Amino acid sequence: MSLHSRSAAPGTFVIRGARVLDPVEGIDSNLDVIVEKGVIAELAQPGGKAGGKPVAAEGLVLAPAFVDPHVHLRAPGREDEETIASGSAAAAAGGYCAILAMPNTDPVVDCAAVLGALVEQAQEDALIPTGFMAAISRGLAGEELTDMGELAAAGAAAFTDDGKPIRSAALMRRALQYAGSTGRRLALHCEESTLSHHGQMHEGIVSAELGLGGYPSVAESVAVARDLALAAYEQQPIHLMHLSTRESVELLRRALADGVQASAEATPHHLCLTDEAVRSLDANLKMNPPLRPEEDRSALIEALKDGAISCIATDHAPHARQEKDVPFEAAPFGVTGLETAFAALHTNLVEPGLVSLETLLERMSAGPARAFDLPVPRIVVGEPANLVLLDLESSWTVKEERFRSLSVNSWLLGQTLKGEVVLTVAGGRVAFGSERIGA
Amino acid sequence: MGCEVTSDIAQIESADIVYVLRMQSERMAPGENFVPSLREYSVRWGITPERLRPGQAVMHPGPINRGVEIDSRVADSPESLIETQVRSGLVVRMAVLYDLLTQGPVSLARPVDLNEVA
Repeated sequence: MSLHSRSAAPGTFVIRGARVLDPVEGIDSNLDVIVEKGVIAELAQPGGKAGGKPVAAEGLVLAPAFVDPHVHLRAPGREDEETIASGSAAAAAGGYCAILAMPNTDPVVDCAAVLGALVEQAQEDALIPTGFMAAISRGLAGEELTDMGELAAAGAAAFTDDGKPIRSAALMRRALQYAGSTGRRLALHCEESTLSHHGQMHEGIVSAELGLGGYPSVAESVAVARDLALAAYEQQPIHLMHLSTRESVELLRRALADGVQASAEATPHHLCLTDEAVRSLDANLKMNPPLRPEEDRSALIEALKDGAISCIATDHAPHARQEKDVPFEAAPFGVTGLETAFAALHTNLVEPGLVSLETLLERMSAGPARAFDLPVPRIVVGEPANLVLLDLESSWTVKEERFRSLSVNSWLLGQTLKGEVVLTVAGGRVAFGSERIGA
Repeated sequence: MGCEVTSDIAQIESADIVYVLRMQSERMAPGENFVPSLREYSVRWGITPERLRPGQAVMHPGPINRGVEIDSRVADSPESLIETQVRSGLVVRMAVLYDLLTQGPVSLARPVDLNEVA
């Protein structure tokens, strides 16, 4: 098993009267969900006499909790920005029951010793089940493969050089061949860095008007094309991270139609924003890949709806205040997202009628779980309780003080969002909102 | 080519004979990354006593790299046919060279006892 969390007593309680919505199981009705010792014991008609501590949930939505396959926990090395404890607490507050952390830490997670230490730390500190990806290349240098067999045996959930592309097509080919022997998927950051070099934002009208260096769409799509071609040739699965362009989506669709085993993710910021937002020069709108124009955003939304993009991933990237509080060009790429993902997407996609609530819930939970062979959270008797309770009517304002993350580089600061996570149950343990549970 | 290929070392269990080859590092330029490291190669695919069932014969054309593709306990075990194999290889080479350099095959009065040759 590649997920780890600190031990805690499993919960016994009854969530009363919520609209239970499990798109995978086809459930949409008002039910009492009875959880005993962390396991879903019964789905009962509301108003029954079932014992246990009650959670009053009339008017709320109860769904399978979320899975985020792309989180930067910054441990080891930058514990001032995030730790396993703070990042997993942020994830719990965002409704997540499982997260996968990226290996671009200091030191890089490229050997079993570093991975083993993280696993031990997660067993002490992680509030929700947390898994770790290991690097494809030693030191993320793009030259030599890591000992993937040993890393897989030590619990690596997948392999990625996230943050850096694999420059050499030959190394990518060997990585696909070799990762195949470990049963773990490669998660790929698709960027042709000779094209994105010096890019601050999407290359287009807005970058021209602002006078900022451009990172063109083709810098992503040319790498997507190469990696899909290699995956097809080697008949190995790949996962495409944080897609941002319509050309990438078109390439993905063609590959899927040809039978390539590809999964893909999109982030809340690429689904909600366009490069127009960068006119503010707010460093919290600087990310890699950059925000793209509306036609790219529309293509991502369409792919999310029809399932070509099966995962929403936050790419939660905490940065120290002093590193983001600088001129746009000097700021590092990346924004946080764990605590705001559902509310941002509910507000910007579901409320305007662009995406159904069911689709959003599926792409935040079952989609990513399937892509990485993690248990799919389901509201089914006998399954471990992985539940998120949502108040779709609640409006709340994103403020620094509210974050459990150690970093506050959110593009949503000051915005009022509709839709709030009020309770998270992860692996049978109440990870967030325990005050909701009555006596 | 009609054969099944697997990277799962446990599959050798069904073999009558386990035929081991060395990594031909001299044909692998640095950075080609066929495997990440010899250490990992040995851990994942090295032939150890634990990976063999009793009575399973082991062959290797040599030279062997002890502790890389084959454990010394396997190479030196009674199940190992390696020394016989290498001795046979010597005899065959001698015969082929002899035939090429002389008139052709000569009939032997009796079968050659390998133990008399080398």
